[in-house]
Amino acid sequence: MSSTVRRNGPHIESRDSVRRKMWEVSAALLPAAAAAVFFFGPYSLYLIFASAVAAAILERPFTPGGFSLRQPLGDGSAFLAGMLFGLTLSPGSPWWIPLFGAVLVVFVGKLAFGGIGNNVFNPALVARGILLLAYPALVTEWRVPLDYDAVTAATPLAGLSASYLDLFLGRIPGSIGEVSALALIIGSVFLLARGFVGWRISLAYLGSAMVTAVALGLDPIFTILSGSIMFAALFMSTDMVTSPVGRSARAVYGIGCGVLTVLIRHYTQYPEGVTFAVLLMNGATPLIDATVVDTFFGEVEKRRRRIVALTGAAAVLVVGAVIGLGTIPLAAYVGDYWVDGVTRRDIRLFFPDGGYALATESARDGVRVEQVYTPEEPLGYLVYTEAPGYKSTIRLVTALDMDERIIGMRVLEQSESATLGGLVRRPSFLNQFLRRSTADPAAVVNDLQAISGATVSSRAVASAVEQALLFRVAPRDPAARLQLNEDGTFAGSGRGYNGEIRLEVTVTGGRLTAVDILSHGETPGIGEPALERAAARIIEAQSLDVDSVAGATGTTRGVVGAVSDALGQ
Amino acid sequence: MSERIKKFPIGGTHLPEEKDLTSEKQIVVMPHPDTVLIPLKQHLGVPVTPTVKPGQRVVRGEILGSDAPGLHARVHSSVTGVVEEITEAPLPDGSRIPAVRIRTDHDAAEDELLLPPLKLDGLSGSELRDAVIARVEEAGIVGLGGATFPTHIKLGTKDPIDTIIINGAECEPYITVDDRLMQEGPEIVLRGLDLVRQVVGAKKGYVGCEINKPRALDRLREATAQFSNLVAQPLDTRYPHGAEKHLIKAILNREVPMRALPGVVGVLVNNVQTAWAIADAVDRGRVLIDRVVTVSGYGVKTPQNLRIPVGTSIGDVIAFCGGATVDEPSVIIGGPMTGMHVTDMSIPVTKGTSGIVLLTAEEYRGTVHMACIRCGKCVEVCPMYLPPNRMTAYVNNDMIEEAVSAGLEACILCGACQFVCPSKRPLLEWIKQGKAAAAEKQRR
Repeated sequence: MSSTVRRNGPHIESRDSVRRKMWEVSAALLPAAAAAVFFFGPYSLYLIFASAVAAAILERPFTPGGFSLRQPLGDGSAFLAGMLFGLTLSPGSPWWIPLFGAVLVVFVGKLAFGGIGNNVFNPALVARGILLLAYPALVTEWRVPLDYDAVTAATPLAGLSASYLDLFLGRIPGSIGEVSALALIIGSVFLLARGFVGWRISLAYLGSAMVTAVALGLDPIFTILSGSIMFAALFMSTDMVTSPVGRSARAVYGIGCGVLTVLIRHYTQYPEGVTFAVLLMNGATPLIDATVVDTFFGEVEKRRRRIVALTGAAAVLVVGAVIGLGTIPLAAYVGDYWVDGVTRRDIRLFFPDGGYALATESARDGVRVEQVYTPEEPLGYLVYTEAPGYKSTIRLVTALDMDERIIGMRVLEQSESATLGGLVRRPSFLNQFLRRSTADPAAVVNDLQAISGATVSSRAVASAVEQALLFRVAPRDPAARLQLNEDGTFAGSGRGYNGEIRLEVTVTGGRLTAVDILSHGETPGIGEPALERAAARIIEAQSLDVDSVAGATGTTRGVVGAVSDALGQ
Repeated sequence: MSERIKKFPIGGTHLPEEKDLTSEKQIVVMPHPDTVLIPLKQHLGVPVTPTVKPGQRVVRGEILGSDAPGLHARVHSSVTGVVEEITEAPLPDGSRIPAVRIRTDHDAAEDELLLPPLKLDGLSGSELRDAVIARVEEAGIVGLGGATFPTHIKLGTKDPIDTIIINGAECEPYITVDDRLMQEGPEIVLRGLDLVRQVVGAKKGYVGCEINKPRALDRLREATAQFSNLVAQPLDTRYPHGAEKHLIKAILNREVPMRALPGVVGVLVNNVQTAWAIADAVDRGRVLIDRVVTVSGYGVKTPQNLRIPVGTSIGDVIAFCGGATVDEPSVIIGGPMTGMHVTDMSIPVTKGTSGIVLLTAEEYRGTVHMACIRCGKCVEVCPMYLPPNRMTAYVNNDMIEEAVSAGLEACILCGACQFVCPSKRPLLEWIKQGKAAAAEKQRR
C-alpha cells in the first residue's frame, strides 16, 4: 500500500473554509458600516475600508502563496481585522489614521506573533490600544451624528444624555461603527444563522456587564447600549483566534470581559473600558482554555457534582447580594429621580451614599446644578460648568459638600492638545482646587498653579471651577445689576443679625471690586464667616439681589444693606 | 401514529447524505466470485485456527475454523468449492491476517449447509436464553455495524437489561444497508429484536432510525403496530447518531458513563443487520456467510446494495458494479467518515464491511491544511464534549499526558471535528497517533 495515501477518514470535508469564515464575519459588519455612513457621512466609508484593504494588502506578501493579483485580499483575515479597527475610529479621524492603524494591525497585531491563528491579542484592539495611548485626542474626538460638520460632542459616556432609543439606533456621537446597537445585532443574527459559535461569549459579556453595572449602581441598559460594549460583545471579544474554544471557557471569558469593561469605565480615567478589558481577557485566554474544562460525555458523576457546586455558589452570591443591596432603599433605583447617565455616574463617584439628584434653581446659562440627596437628606451639589480653553470648550463637573467646599472634580470633555492642554484632566492638576469653598471663589483663579505651557487651558479650568463655586450667586434679574458710574472707595453701614455692620466698598472701572468689613457684631463661627461670603456674592453677581448665605440670613441682609448704603442705592 | 423526533442534546453535525444513490434500489444478491479469500478473523479478538486443509472440498456454510485462544467468533465458508491455500489476507488498515482461499465450484452454487431451525415454542427463561446464544455462536454472528464484537458474548451479559435498541440510525453518508434491510424486511428485523429482548429479559425494544430514511420508518411503523412493547423511533438527522452511547442518550436520555458499557444503564444495542442475522440463524438455520454492503459514490458506475459472500475481493465487487467512472477514484472501505481509504483491490469483504464507496477527486477531501483559527467548530460538534483542537495541539507537541487529560481517550473517532474544520486540519489522524502513543506509554 502506497504510503502517500492517507488511510484514515473522514474522507469528505465540509465546504467551510477559513476564507469563507472571515468573509462572512466581514459581511456581518456591513450593517454597522452602513449605519456609520448614514450617521457620519461617506468619509466613514473611507475610514473603514481604507484600513481593511490596506491591512489585507499589507499582510498578503507574508501569507502562503505571497501576493497575487488574482486574490489581492488574501484569506480575508487581515481584511476583517482592518475593518474591525476602522469601525472603532472616530468620524473625524485624519486620513492617515486608518492606514497607520492597518500597519499596526498587520505587523504588531498579527505578524509579530506568527500570523493567522497565532496572535494572542485581537489585532484590531492592539492597534486601537496603541493609538489610544499615543494619540488620545485623535481617536477620541467625537462628532454629532446626522450633522457631518465638525461639531465635537461628548459621547454618552463622557457627558451626554441620550434616550435608550437613541442609544439603540445609534443617534449618538461615538465611534463610527459602534454607535448603532441595532446594526450590530442585525449583523450578529446573520452570523448566528451561519453557524458561528461565539454567542456564548456575547451573552456572557452583556449579561455580566449589566450585573456589574447594577452592583455599582449604574443603569444596566445604559451601560450596554452606550460606548462600544455592544460592538465588543458581538464582534471584538468573539474574534475566533483570540477567544477560548470550550463551552464553559467561553462563558468565563465573556464574564471576565463584561466585568472588566464596567470596572475600567467606572474606576479609571478611560471611559472606554472595552479595549483594555478585551485585550486583558485575550491574554488570559490560553489559561482559561486549559483550566475551565467542560465535563466529557459520560462523566455523569463529575457533572452532577459540578452542577451542585455551581448552584450552591450562585445561591450564596444571590443571597449575599440581596442582603447587601437590601440596605439600599429601592427608591434609589426608581427611574424618576435619575437625571441622566452622567449625573448618575458622578453621584456614584463623588457621593458614595448618594441616592438621587435634583436640579436646583440656581442653574443658569452654561451652569447646571444638581443637588444630591441620600433618599432622606441632602449631601451636596454637582455643578456642571464650562469655559473656553485653548482650542476647545472644557466642560467639567465640580462636586461640593453641604459646606459648599469642593470635594472632587472631573473633566467631562476637552479636546485640548494631548501633550499639554489635555493634562488638565490629571488629578495632579485638579487636586489643587480641593477644599476650595464658595466663601472665596476668586482664590481659585488667583492662586492658580497653571501647567507650564498650557496656561490657557489651566485658566479655563480654573474659571470653570470658579463658576461652579459661584453657583449660588446667579443674578436672576439683569435689571438688578448695580449701576456704578463713579470709581472710588465708599463707606456704608447696615443692620446685621447682631448689631451694626460697617464696611468699605471699592469701585474700579464701573465694577464693584472689593468689600472690606470694618466692624461688626456677628456671632463668631456663624455670622462672622457669612460676612465674607455675602460680600463675595455681591461682588460676583454685581448685584444686591443675591441668595442668603445658608443659616445667616440676617447677616446677609446686613451686608447687602451696608453695601447699598455705601453705594447710595 | 408518529413518535416525537429525538436527538442527542449536544454536539454532532449534519453531513451531506448522498443516500439517494442507492436507497431505492432493491438489494441484489451478488453471484459467487471465482475465488474468495476468507480471513480467519472477522471479529474483535484473535484469529480462529483453520480446520480445513488445502485441496479439501468445502460446502457453503461449512466451518473453516471455530476455535481460538481468546475472544473469537466462528468463520464459515461462503461458497462451495475447493480450499486452495491457507494464506494471508490484506486488511483495510494495512495489516495482514491468516485467511483461507477457496476456488468456487460454480456448478454447486445452490448448495448450502443449513442448521436445523430452532424450535423455541415452549422454551422459557434460561433454556431459551441458552438455546439462542448457542445458535448465535454456531452461526458466527458478530456486530455487523462495523465493530464486529462477537454477538454471543454480548447477549450473555450479566447486567440487568430493561431495553433493547436496534441501531438503524445509519448516520454515515452514502451507506444504505440498514435502510434497505428495514424497508425490505422490517418483520425480520423486529423478529431479531424480539429474540434478543427475550434472551436478556428486557421489557421494551426500540428501532432507532434517522428521518432521512422515511420509507424505512414507514415500514417499521407498520410492522411495530402489532407489538405493544416495540417502538419505531425517528431520530433527527445528525452525525453520529449511530454511535451506541449517543443513540442511547437520544432515545432514552441515559448517559453511559465513561469507559462503561451500555449494560450499566440497562441497555443493549444491536445493529439492524445483526438482528436480521440472529433471526435468520434461529428461524432458518443460516450461518453468517454473506452480508449486505452498499457500493456507492459518484466514482462507481452502478451504485447499489449487494448481498456479498464474505471473502469476495473489493475488486470483484467494483467490477460487478460496472467498474469506476473516473480514472483514479478514492476507494473507501466503510463509510466516508470512519472508513479506510485503500488502494489494494484484493482486500476481501468481511463481516465488518458495511460499504465500499468510490469518491471522485471533487468529493474527496483535500490534503492542504492551514493554521487553526480557533473558531471552535470542532468543540461545538464533538459528541463527546471534547476539545479536539487542544488535544491535537498537545499530540503534535508530544505532550501525551496533557492530551490524555484533555480527553484523548474518550474520543470515539467519529471524525465530526475534522469534517467541519474550516482549516482542513487532519484532526482524526493526529488523534489516532496520540491514542497510539498513549497506549504505547501505558504498556511501558
